[in-house]
Amino acid sequence: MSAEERDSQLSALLDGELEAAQAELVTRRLLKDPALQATWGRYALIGAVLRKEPLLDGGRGTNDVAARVRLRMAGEAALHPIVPEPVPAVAARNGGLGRMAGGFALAASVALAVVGALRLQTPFAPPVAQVAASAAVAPAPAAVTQPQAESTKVVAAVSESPLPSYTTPRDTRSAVARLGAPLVNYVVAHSEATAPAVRMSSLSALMSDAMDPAANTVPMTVEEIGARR
Amino acid sequence: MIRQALLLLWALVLPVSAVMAAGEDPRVWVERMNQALATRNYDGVLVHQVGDQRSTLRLIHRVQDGHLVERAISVDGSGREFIRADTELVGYFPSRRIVVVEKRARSLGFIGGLPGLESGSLSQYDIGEVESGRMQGRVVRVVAVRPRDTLRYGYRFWIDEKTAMPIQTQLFAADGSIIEQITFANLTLPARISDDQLKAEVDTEGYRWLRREAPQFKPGELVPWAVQSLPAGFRRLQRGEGKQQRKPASHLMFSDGLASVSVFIESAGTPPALSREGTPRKANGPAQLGAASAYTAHIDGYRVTAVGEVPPATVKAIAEALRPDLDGTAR
Repeated sequence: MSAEERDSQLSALLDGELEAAQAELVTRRLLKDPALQATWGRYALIGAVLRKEPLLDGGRGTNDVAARVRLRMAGEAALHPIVPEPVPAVAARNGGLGRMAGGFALAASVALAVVGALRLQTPFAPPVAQVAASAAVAPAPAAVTQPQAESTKVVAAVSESPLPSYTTPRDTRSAVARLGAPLVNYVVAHSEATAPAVRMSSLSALMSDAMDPAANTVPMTVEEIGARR
Repeated sequence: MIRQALLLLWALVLPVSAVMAAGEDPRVWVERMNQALATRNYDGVLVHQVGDQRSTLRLIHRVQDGHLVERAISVDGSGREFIRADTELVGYFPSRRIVVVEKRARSLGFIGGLPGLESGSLSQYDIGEVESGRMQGRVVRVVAVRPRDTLRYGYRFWIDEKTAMPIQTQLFAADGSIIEQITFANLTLPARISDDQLKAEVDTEGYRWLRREAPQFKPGELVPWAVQSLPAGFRRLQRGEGKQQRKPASHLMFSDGLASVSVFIESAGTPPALSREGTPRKANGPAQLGAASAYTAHIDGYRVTAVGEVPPATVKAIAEALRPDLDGTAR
């Protein structure tokens, strides 16, 4: 399979358009292939930049890249302004893509600029497969909470979508450090006892470095291990 | 290449549109979602975001013959995997070359529904009308449960019309800001998931296998507790010990019908009861882990920690509302 075909499949996966079996194959490939993860991350970052979403950079400069891309986008937009003209929904579905091609051509050039910038920034970039993949599939909350005509929203998403208001009460990692591992235990115990609607807090704790996984453990016996292999 | 970029960008900036779905009951859709999460097999790549922290993982979830098996695989390059089979959780940590096995109190998947909405007695929330829209190529129903004050969060679900699975879930504050978001980037619902798909792909040759022991708990003198004044809408669910298998501390629970808050009580004169690392911790104050807020207060010689997926002010108010009830008149 060519690189182009792989990229095409990846974008289809992002869009949820692959058949189940094919999605399974691509997902497996994604999980195993760092190069594909990087591509996924780049696509995701493109989406995040277009939606002006805040990007996790861990202090390593990705936001600078995004900011520069946005500046370039703004500069090009000044030369080739995108007018958020309402378009009838039917027209958008039946050939609306062509009508918006001008705007997307600009966006595509920005997208390519992002990819180029990321390549230049590789030494400073975070693991984009982890960080930015979410941006690709996380629709801008503002667009979700204020439903409007499909075509109008598409144009607006490119040109004037507001910053999503993700709340960051305080830095999660430092908060964990402040109270230490007992807090992790409390959160896990709370999740187990009350079955809150969203139980991802405990999974976040497991996936992150919030606690030492080997703490408060004892070695298993040879018999116990053998039964599991 | 440009055409591909155009199509990609089309997909990225066209996440959803929504219109009112007149006459549909949001409770019915949430109940369908709860049922789907409890009974369906699913396999998807999901993105979890809290604040500016994002993580991506693959989740394979099987319910077969009444048994839950779930495998979570990190896509951040760490290679971490977690497999939960009923009440047992096994974690694989390649960077440490260890496997950790531990028991959990209940058999629960990592993604939960929203129990309690069907009760119809939720005075602190407004349940919005069902909206119809599209997300990631699927027709979805959008259900929002909005808080009426700042003491609790709201919930918003994008429920796939065909499968009733939540393609996206949000926890949001009264001002509309998103606290936590879970989105399936890709989701399939296989009729059958094989045992092999639920096995870790980590080669454990040379790994150390560890069992996590129940935390050492020195509760000191346990006493009944009275509640002075709870945040509006919250009530105490149960009292005392014996409700949990692990018994990590004296454990009280409060709920407003949807949101829950746990309170863990230890004697302040004893070492931290739940420490897995033996690390000292700050005596008082707020903290945050994911969407969960926590607040620890010292009250009459006890360390009282409230934890829940509610705003920081709510856990603080609940922790500070507790008093030892030494004469046995606890409410």
